[in-house]
Order: sequence, then structure tokens, then C-alpha cells
Amino acid sequence: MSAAQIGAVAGVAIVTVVLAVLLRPYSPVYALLASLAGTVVLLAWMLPYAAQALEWLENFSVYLLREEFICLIRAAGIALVAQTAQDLCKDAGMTAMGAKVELAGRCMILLSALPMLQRVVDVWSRLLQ
Amino acid sequence: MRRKRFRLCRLLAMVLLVAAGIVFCPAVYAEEMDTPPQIQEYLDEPEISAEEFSSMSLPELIAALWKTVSGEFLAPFRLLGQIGALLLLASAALTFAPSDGWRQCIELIAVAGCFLLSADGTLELVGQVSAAISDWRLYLASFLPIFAGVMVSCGQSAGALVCTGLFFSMASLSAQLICSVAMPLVRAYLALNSAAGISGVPPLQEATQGLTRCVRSLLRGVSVGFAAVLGLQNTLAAQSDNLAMRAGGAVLSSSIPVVGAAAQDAMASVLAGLRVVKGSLGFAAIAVLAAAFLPLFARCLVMRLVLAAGGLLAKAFGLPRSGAVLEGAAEGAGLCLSFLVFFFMLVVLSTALMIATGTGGLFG
Amino acid sequence: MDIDLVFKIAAIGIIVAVLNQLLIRSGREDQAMMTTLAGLIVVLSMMVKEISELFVTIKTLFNL
Repeated sequence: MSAAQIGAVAGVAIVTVVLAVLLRPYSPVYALLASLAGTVVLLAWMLPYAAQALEWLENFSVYLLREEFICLIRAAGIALVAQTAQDLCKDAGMTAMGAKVELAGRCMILLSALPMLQRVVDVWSRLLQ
Repeated sequence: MRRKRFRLCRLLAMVLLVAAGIVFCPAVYAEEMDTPPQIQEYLDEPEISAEEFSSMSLPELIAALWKTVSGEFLAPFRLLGQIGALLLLASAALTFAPSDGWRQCIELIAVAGCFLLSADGTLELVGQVSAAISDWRLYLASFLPIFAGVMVSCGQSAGALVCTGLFFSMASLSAQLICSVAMPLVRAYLALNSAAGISGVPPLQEATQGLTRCVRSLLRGVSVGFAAVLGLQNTLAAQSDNLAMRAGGAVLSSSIPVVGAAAQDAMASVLAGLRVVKGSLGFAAIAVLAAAFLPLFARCLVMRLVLAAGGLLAKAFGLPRSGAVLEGAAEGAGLCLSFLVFFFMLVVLSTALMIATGTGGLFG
Repeated sequence: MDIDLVFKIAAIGIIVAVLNQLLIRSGREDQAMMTTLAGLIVVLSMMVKEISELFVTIKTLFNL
């Protein structure tokens, strides 16, 4: 990714914000939809580059167990999606919804980490025999 | 008259023969003495003898030491690589979700991963240290009676008493304490440390720090006490042995009329030979223990350094809880190292003390 | 996936808002409401496709 692309990203963000602010007095729902569209566009644009970084990091998974690597990457993905949804809810003024989305995200991260925590408990039982 | 003279000559001849026997046989015996088989077994056990060791130059010594410990570096450095990879991944995952709430979740996974990586190594280390100390205790149980026997033949009966009495009971007691009290404490410490890291609850962290301080001060107190008592007892025993030897020598030289002084010199050469055997035997025991000690010591030390480096790396990557867990694991490895060095030094210094005392005796 | 999407949504939003105002002023409120709803349905149908594509990409990328 060349550094000039950041200019394009900033440009898209500013345009979306301006449009959303423009639409807000007339129809808040379209303002929200416009900002949602802008978020989706930016995420979709960035993902191929994140994919490159993740492929490079996968080289290190030969040192670790596959399980730990997948766990961490999955946690990152869940955090990303949940954070996006949470911020959108906050933008619409629905903080309660945002908090529930965050809670759901955290529970899912914990669930995906459960096999690792099970292994930790096994090691504890070996230590404390 | 003639008969009386004949009887006198016969008596003189007998006395001369006995004198010759007293003077020459021990000397011959000392030169051609074969050490008894049990002693020879212990002398043959180590790869290096006392004479070879004393004639080694410094580069040769360093090369020999390196050969013993060079195999121990591979596994810990592989562990460091694994820890580094995990931390890199965790910090990359954190970039996708930089806000605080998500940071805690992702760091939980990183902490669990760090603990799992370090636990195998430290658990194995604790087991190896316990096994080594019990093996050494068994070795001492078979070796010390023989060493005490050689000490008695050197005239150090009080020293031999200290050897089989106080020293052996102290060594056994400390081995028992280390294997059944200290090592389980180290394991409990490792578990507590990881629990503190995973939960992030401050009182648990303080509890782990308090436990380390407790164990370290216990070790310090015990080692000072042992050193003081053993040193004192050995010195007193050596003094009483010297006194006994001098008194015995005075009686020998003054009571036997013609050949007392010659007999005294003959006994001196025998005792000098026996002292060499005592020194070689002591060195053999130290060499055998050192051959087992050095690789384990290197393993503990390298593991401790690797885990401490991992802790620093974690803190540099912005994962403080993972850093705390890794540093706790390094502390656990350090405790194992302390106990290992304590027991080894206890044995080696006491043996060296017992070899060194008694050289300034009656005939020296 | 382009910034055109944002512009399209903004344009539909402005048109719907203007139509809404006109219809309310001329007294046809129910038609105004239906226009708003129709606009919403169009925008959502455009967005849903993009959002589902995005989530599939995220799913494959992060092994969710």
C-alpha cells in the first residue's frame, strides 16, 4: 500500500462526513445510512491490505500452535466488526445498543479462547498436584 | 655366661627384625598399596582425575566446561522465538481494535498463550532439579561412609564423625526439604503468578510477590545457618584430631626405646599416602556431582534469562500483563537455580573443608 | 465498491427529503411517508449487498 492511498482514505471519510452532516437536518435516517455506507466502503477498500499483513503474520504460526494463532486472529476480527457496529449505534445516539454489541463481542472472544483457557486449567492441575 | 650372651644376641636380633619390619613394611606397603575396590570404584567414576584437573590450563578448562553445557541452549532459544512470535501476533491483533475494552480481551489470550509456552519449560526444570537433588542425596548416602573410613585411616576420627553425623544429616534434611517443601512452593508460585496475570486482580499479584520474598529469605537463613554450624564443627573436629595425633605420636616416639622415631617417620609416610587418597576421593565425588550439576545449572540460567527477555519484550510490545507472567516464570526458574546452587555448594564446600582440614597434623 | 455508493445514497436521501417536504406542503402526508419508505427500501437493498460482501470477506480473512 503506497502512502498516498491514505490521502484517498481521508478524502472518502471527509466527503462522507460532509454528506451525513448535510442530510441530518432533513432526514437523520439517511445521514446514518450515508455514514454506514462510508464505513463499509472504507473497510472493503482496506481489507486486501490487511489480508497481506495477515498472510505475512501467518509465517509466524509455524512457531506457535495453529490454535493460538487462529484464536488471536479471530479475536481481532470479532473486535473489528463489533467495534464498527458499536460506533454506528453511538453515532445514532443508541448507546445501550452499542453496549450490548460490545458485550456480545467480548463473549464471543471469550468463547473462542475457551480451548486455550481449558489448557491453562490443565497445566494448573499438573502444577498443583 | 655364654648362654646369657647368646640369649642377649637373640633378643637383639629379634628386636632388629621387628624394627626393620616396622620401618620397611609400611613404606613398601604405602608404595605398592592397592586401594580397596569400593574406593577405586569411586575414584574411577568421574571422567577427569585430580591430577589432570590440577594440570589443566584456563583455555582447556573453559573448553571442557563449554562442551558440557553447549547442548542446553537450543530449547530455551526456541522458546524465546515462540514467545516473540506470539507477542508480535498479539500486538498486530491489538492494532485492529485499539480501544481499551478490546485490548483486555486480546491481552487475555496473549497472557494465556505466554503462560502455556513458558509452563512446559519451567515444569520440566522443577522436575529435573528435584530428581537431581534426590540422586545426589542417594550418591552421598553410599559415598560418605567410604569417605569417613578413609578419614579415620588418616587419623581424623572426629572429622569422620562430623562427616557421617552432622554433614550427612544436614545434606539429607536439606535435600528432603527442597524436594518436598521448596519445589511444590515454586510450582504453587508459578500457578499463582499465571492466575494473577490472567485475572488482572491486584491482590493476587501482591500475594505472588510476597511468596517469592518469603522463599528467598528462608533460603538465605537456612544457608547461613548451615554454613556457620558446619564450619564451626569441622574446625573443632580438626583441632581435636590434631591434638590426638600429636599425643599419639609423642607416646609412640617416647615409649618404644630404639625405633620409636623411625616408626614415627614410617607412619608419617603412610598417612601422607592416605591423605592423597582422601583428596582424590573427595575430588572424585565433587567431579561426579559437578558433571551432573553444570548442564542443569546452565539450563536453569539460560531459561531464566530467556524468560526475563520475553517479559521485557512483552512490555515493549505494550502487553504489561503478559510481561508480568513471563517475569514471574523467570523468577520461578531463578528460585530453582537458587536451590540447586545451594545444595551443590553445601556438598562441595563441606567436602572441600573435610579434605583441607587435617593436613597440618602431627607429621605435616 | 466505491465512493459512488455514498454519493448515490446521499443523492437519494436529498431527493427523498425534497419530495417529502413538497408532498407534506401540498397536504399528501401519507404519500410523503410512502416516498420516504420507498427511498429507504432502495437504499437498503443497495447497502445489503455491499455489507454481505464485506462480512464474507472479513469471515474468510479472520477465520471467524
